Amino acid sequence: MRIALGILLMIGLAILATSPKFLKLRRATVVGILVSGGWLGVLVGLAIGPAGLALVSHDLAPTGTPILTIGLGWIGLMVGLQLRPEVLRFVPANLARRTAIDASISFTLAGAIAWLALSNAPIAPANSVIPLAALIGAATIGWPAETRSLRLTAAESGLAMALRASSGLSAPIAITLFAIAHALAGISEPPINGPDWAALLRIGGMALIAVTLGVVARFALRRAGDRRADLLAVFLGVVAIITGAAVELRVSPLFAAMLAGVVVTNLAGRELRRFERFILQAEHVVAVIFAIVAGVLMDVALGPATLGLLAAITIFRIIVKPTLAPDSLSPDSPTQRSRKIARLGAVRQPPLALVLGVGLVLTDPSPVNQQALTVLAAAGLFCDLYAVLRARAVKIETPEEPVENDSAPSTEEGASP
Amino acid sequence: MADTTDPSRNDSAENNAKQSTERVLLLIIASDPTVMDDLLTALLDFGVTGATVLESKGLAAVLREEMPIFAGLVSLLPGATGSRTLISITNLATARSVLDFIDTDLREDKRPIAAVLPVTHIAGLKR
Repeated sequence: MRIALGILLMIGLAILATSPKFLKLRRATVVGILVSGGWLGVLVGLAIGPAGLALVSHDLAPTGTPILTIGLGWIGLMVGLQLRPEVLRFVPANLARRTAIDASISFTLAGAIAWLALSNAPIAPANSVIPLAALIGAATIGWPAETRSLRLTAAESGLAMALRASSGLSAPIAITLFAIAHALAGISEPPINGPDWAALLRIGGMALIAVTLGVVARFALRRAGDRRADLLAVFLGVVAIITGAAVELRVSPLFAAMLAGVVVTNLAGRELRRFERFILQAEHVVAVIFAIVAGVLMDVALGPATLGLLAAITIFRIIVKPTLAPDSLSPDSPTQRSRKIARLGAVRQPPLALVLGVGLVLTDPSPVNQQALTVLAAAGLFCDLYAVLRARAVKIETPEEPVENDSAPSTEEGASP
Repeated sequence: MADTTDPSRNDSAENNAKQSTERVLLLIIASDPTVMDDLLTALLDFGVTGATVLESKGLAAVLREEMPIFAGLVSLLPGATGSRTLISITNLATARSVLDFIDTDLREDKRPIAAVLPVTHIAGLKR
């Protein structure tokens, strides 16, 4: 009962946090950063969780797992539904290449750092180190698609598009790498030594289920037409079946739902647009719910190993990530300001990082996983504050003033509309 | 001979005449694209032969587009939401008929938002 009330409280807070009246608070710089990055949700989660008022306990992970798994499925479906040729053909090859470079460097280096930090830590049992390293590696891939808080000008829309597109591409890569590494690391009972190769079979089985479900969903979407109630029924059916199958096959529900999204998006026709709009409408609410859940599930009592990991990830993002930043999609050569903003945008941590962390804690609510969630939240908040405050300090470049000429009309008089 | 004309009928006739000459701006925001066909047919039936239809976006759509969280790739697509805004200069009587049609003949969940605004000056309007 208490868990149900806690979940209702979190949903209520998420709806409140995404209401138009609340959005007005973003005008203040710091509040804007806290709201845009979802950090306010994390802080609220901390406040109502065991570390604060204890309105919701850590038992949320085992007891609330079914409903939170559906939330993971919702996010996976959102990511997967984007992966269709109609959208992907807008991504220039150069941007796709840079995204792939960022993913491989970030996953390998940050994963290795996490492995080094945790492999000898007393808090981390041997079988939890690889999943944690995979989590940190995957969470370091990409940057947020949200560009509003960087205060880009209209002339920098090409950069905003580049950041959004590469972030959109990074999300499925991060989900896939984490799911495969996590499955191979062996979460089987009883634990086995070495990679769990049977996991590849389970992932293959999951892909087959996703294809079958995609065909069924296409038929169901045609029947649903534009009736919202029917769309909701189709959505809940797809998410419930796919996440249920994922839990049974011990595959990440986020990954499984993403696979289903990919199949649905490539099979369905016009019906998809309505379905996609229907799902995307809840994007902000779902994001806030997961931020609050992350806050509740966090264990803030970090030890030396996890504190070291926090410092290492923050430094990695501030020093290495700017070198992996995307180029603007605008055909004009980038200005000095847009280069700076692109580098700062790459420092920020994508919101998917917390979702991956919550997914791991739901699978295994151990103290080290809960501390890893805290590490991700704290590193994300530090990097967001650093990047956004610095980006706002970067002056907007104005075109060079024309040489004064008495006979020429003034700028205002001569300006064309 | 006494005047038998009912003054209220005179007023009503005057009122109707005034409504059919008074120019107004009819503004309709249809967020559901499936309603456009019925709406445009009705406008033609009521005698609105000229209107401008603009692609538009609601506040929530703009916020979602500028602040994508998990679906950054979709923002690469041309951002059509299906929402349309229709503007037309017409007379008050016609505009009222259109409002009645919207209120009574269209399904509540698809009903566009419509407003009628007074017009004080017009230039360049083709008859």
